[in-house]
Amino acid sequence: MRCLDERSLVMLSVGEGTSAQREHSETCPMCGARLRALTGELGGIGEVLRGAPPPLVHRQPRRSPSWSLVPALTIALLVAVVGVHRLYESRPFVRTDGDGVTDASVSASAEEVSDALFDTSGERAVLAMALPLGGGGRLVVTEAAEVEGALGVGSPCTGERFVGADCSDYTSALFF
Amino acid sequence: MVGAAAAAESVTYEELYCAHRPRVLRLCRLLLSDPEEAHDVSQEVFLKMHYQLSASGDEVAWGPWLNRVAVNACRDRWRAAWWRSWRAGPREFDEATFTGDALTPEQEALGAEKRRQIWNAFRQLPARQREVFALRFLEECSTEDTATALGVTGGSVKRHLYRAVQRMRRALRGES
Repeated sequence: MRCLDERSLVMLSVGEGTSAQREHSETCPMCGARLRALTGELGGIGEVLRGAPPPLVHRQPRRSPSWSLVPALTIALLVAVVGVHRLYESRPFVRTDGDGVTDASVSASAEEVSDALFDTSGERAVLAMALPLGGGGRLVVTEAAEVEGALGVGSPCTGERFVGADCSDYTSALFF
Repeated sequence: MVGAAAAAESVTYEELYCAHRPRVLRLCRLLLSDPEEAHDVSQEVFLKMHYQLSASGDEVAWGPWLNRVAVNACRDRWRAAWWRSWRAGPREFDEATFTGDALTPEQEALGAEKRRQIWNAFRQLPARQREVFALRFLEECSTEDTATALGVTGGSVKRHLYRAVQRMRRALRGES
């Protein structure tokens, strides 16, 4: 039989193990010595533990974490709330999207698009008024502007008078 | 007649108490590492034994029964005491009052240190390993009785016993 491994020796030393293992430990000097050493080691442990345990020394009681942390957490929370409130009061809210584009730049672009679409001066205005009238609309608008110009009456928002005039309402009326 | 029966029961209880109390108290000390708590728990165990003795007319194997009740009572006490123990802060053994008899001061110091190490190693075992080690090795219960007391199989007892022994040895050698 081969020499006993560590587990077999431990189990033999605590009263477990097979009879074959026990016989081997009695015949093999090396395994016998290992078993005696282990038994002695465990015997010492058992002797200590079977005796009365030493008295325990109680140290200074801890403070409960909840009570010790509550004031600090409350103060930190208040400071954070006040700080955030003041920050938003003192600075305009500038929102950026994921690419870092601000609302200001978006607004400028929107105004350009709006000017291009709703230009109220010159040729574009004539086209804008003619478009809803369908085929021949441009001619009608042009003639109307000429007639109005000749008579000196009508809307101030036709022809050359579109330029720089406050014609937003009139244009809107034409569109809608 | 009733008085005679009561007297007989009382004698039986006393006999059981005298026969098992030292062992139960030692087991509770091992599992709780606190002599005062162990005393309280052992009283609870024998109170339960008294009820069992009065209520049950069946034959009871009092040794295993007491082991099982003591282990369960220690577990309950351990669970209930964790918060109180944590609040009390770390506890250590009082080495000054834990010295051997008829030893030189050097031997006493070495003995006290060794005992402190052994008790600390034992206390740091996982609960199941500590229970198995206490019952099977220190109290020399059979594997079957240990398994019955702990509600596990015999194979599980052997595994936990081996692990407990190895862990104790490693701890005493200073290995992690």
